[in-house]
Amino acid sequence: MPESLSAQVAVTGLGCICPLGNTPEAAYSAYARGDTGISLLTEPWAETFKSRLGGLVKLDMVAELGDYLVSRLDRFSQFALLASRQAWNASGLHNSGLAPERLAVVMATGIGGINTMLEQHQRLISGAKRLHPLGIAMAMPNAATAQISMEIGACGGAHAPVSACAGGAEAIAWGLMLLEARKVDAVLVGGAESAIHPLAIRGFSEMRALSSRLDDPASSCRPFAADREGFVLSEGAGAIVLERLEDARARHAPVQALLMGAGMTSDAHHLATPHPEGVHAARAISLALRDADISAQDVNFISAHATGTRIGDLAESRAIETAFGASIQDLWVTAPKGALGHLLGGAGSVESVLTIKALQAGVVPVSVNSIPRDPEIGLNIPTASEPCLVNSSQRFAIKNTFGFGGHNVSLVWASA
Amino acid sequence: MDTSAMTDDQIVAQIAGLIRKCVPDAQAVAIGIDSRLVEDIGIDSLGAYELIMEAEDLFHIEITDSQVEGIKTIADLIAIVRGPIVQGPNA
Repeated sequence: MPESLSAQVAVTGLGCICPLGNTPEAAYSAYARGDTGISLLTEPWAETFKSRLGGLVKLDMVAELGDYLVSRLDRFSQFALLASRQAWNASGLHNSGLAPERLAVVMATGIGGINTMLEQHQRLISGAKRLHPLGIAMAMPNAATAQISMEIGACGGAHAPVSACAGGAEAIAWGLMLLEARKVDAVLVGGAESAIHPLAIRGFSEMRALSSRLDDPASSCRPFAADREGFVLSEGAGAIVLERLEDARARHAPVQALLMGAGMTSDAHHLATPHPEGVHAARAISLALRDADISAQDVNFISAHATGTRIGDLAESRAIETAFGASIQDLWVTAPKGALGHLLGGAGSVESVLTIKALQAGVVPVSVNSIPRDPEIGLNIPTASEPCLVNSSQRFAIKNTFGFGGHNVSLVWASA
Repeated sequence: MDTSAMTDDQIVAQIAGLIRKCVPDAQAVAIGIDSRLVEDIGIDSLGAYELIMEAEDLFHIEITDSQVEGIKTIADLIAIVRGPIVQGPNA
């Protein structure tokens, strides 16, 4: 790769709003304890739903953002903004004199403002004379990235990848490329989702994709487990500030982790199911390793995508086996969605934040609800928190994400 | 919301709550019965239509497009709220 297109990229800010907690530290503490953020949905509309489970953010959004922003932003954008504020404030870039034209935002979502869209549709069909004049602008998937660009004064580009469950990681990959190409000097990346709505729950339920384990919500999402039956929908947002390491060091910024590489491929297979052999998913992992210039043996753990579906988890396990070969014997594979649920477009970012915190702690987090393991899945899955193997001065972890439509994104994170 | 027993100040307070949703930093602005929507409160065109929608929902009234053009102050809006009731679909 030409030198001008390679650069070490540092994490200088983290933000997280999710069912496990509403800061990176709170979310990671709960995650490390093995807590789960999944509960029964108690809204009246959910009463008759067989998959009435969800991972809800527990926050008074009016208290956090005020009446105006809560009125003007769909819930997914509210989460994105809150997480972005955390990351931005932590980075210290607001005091750095960074020119607006050198700052970009990449904030992904799976479906964007579905709550706004459906509320406005309900007004329309009920015969209301007026709809919200900004309903379209609130519902559009780029609403979050636009609001964040306004908040932090980013004039170097505001982007919104829409790649289903891979979006939150794809945003990070695009941020890496923007920095390596020196298009900008800093980029706030992330993903957000809030789609716990009757239409979304029923839609996924019709695909037979959701868990209906109502007797024990905390154990309802069971990635890699023999008795897994589907995922649980969650909401929230993750945000990460990235800049070239040389720039972070020059301004004495806190470097929390390094983004070593990214791999992106596509299955070209099916709108909703992954390629069963995970051929291109394996290639995304391999490309990420090559981009990071590390070997499979260097990786301490993989934070799997593993949503808890029968097909998806098996396909990912095959992809990991293909990419790692014999190195798989020494590799831990942990699945955060057993604790977190599935944040769709927010998953890749929130789970990256948790991965970074785990690398900082030198820990492979427990894979909650993953036992008894499916005998078809030949991975080492931690049933308790495990220490990272320290055989070098750095610890490395991979974050996988695979989205409906065949979007495969793998990221390589490293301790600072 | 039935305004027949409400004072002007009470209606102003309700409208101020709606304005907080439509105008950034509205809590920093003193809102009174004579406040001008654009010059004093800083509402923009989209915010104005949002306020109209919220007022129609809250007070169960219907405001015609010609009436909207004439709303320059809080007092103008209160006059419509108190005026002859045109029942909206949500009443």
